[in-house]
Amino acid sequence: MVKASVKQLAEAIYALIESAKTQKELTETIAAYLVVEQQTKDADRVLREVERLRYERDGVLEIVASSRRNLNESTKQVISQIFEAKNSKIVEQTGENLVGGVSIQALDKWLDLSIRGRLNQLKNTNLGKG
Amino acid sequence: MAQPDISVKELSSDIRKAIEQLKVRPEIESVGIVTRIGDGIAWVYGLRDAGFNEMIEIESETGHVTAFALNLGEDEIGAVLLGDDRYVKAGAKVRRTGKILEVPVGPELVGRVVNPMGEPLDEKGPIKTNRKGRVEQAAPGVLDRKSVHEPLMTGLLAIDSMVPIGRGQRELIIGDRQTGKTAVAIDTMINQHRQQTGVINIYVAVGQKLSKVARIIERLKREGVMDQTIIIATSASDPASLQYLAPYAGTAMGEYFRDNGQHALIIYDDLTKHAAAYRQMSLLLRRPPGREAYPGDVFYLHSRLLERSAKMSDKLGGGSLTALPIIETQAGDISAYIPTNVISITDGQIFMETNLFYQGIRPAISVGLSVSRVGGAAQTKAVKSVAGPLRLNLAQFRELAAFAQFSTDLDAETKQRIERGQRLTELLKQPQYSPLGVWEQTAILMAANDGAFDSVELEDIKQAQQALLTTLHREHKKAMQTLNTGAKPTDEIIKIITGVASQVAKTYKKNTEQPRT
Repeated sequence: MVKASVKQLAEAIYALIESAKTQKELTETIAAYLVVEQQTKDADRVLREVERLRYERDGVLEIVASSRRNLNESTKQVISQIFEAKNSKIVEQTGENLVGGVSIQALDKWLDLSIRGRLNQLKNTNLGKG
Repeated sequence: MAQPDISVKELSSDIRKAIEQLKVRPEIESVGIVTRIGDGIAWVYGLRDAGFNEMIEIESETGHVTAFALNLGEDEIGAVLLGDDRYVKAGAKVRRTGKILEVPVGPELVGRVVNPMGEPLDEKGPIKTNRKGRVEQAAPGVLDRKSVHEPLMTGLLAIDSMVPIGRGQRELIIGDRQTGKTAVAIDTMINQHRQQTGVINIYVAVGQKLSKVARIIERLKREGVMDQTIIIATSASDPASLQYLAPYAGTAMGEYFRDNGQHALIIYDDLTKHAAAYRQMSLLLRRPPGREAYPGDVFYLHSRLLERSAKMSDKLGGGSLTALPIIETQAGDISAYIPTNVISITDGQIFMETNLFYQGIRPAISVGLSVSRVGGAAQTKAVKSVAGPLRLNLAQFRELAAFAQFSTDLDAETKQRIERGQRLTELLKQPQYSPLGVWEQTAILMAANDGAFDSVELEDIKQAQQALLTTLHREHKKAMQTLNTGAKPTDEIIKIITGVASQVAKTYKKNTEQPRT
């Protein structure tokens, strides 16, 4: 039997999300399929593709915001507005090596406002290479 | 000394403006994520806008590792790492650089030993050049070229007389291992220095033993050739990606000279290892294997490389890039896959035979199988005037060679042909690192055609040859300098050479009057 491609799996899971009753049920169904079809190594790629499909079709976006401290509501609102999604959900992560500021990632887009990121960018300018 | 009229207040305001301009403005950038890493290949999710051969940077524990995108899939990119993959992990971020692979180019590279990224390996400090050349570049079009008409002298009598190479030509050197292929290339480089041709040498070592590369560098330094040579070195322990890039990087460096009205010679040692490195990369990128497990575009791998070696038109400076690719065969099989590919691309081949090598005929060039498709157009008039009968004489000798053991039963003409062929074969032998100039080659061939060496014992031929050259150089230096310009020899020069040759031959004449014991 021909294995399903990443895109086909993503389409199937996207359809499942619409019809699934609980997250647990959805998780078990997907995990069982991947194990039986020996495609567990494609799990990450498939789920990223699902994320992309949800953004393109439904405007649903998950934003990962990494900062040294917890973000306040106004910061979260600004972050949501940056990506212009109909329905965004912010997942907070603590990044102790950021020094300060915030690093935001959604799908394949990244906005690095952390101190570490700015120092790295400055290092790559002519001034930094001096 | 009067102080310049500077207002500190204005300076302060200017400095503030300059700092404002230097402020980094953060932007939303596209990133990819490494999903799998191993064997020098990184599979990256995202970066849908990445271009073919675009350089990307992968975060690693030690900073960044550079890679270039070779497989552009719908949702995934296969990128080949140019550095160590040990410190790259799955989940690492990947950024586009927006740049195609480039290497530093320019005269600052001459005399240096570098890797395919242009980074120095010779501990002589950084390469100070701002110029960059693309590793992958389109070859010049038809109208940008001129036909090959200037000779590139190798200094090897056998090649310059029968398989002449011109500037802008691609001449393949092919043969089994340990048959003197690299030796031919090294002697050609040495000859550019000895004859002060101004040709820049570029030697690309692809997957070679570092001890061999070190020996070559040492020899070139000793001969004073390193001052006009660039060496791009990759060893067998370097990643396949660097071995794959090395010939293209070398060609990019050579194109600088070609496009600026200068002449360069590039040696690819060797393209068999280059094809093997590309096969390794392609299989790891999961590209479908073809014949002998090579990818389907292995012909294109070499054709797009070698097409960049060309003679440019006068309008574009008249520069040239001459290529001497080397291919190693197995058991003399020139009909194998990669050898036939490269033979069909190049403008001729020099075939080195193992049998000849072990018979002591060095350089071990097979006259019958070697050819130059440019031919006489790339030969100096001097050598051309005397090289005509050589190939024919040797071909006749090869046909009659089997009868040599029965020489007492042959007619006089056959015996004479055999004797002439044996002497010509002896004359074509040449020690390593001893390239001959135009006047020397012309004098030797002229003397041989005149029959001066017919009366010399076979074991004395090389001594007689050396005596001829020494005498001509000592007693007729001015005439030989004129001949060395490459012009067709005048009657006077012909008379000088044939006269000296017959005098020298008398000294070494074989004694046929000794009584039988």
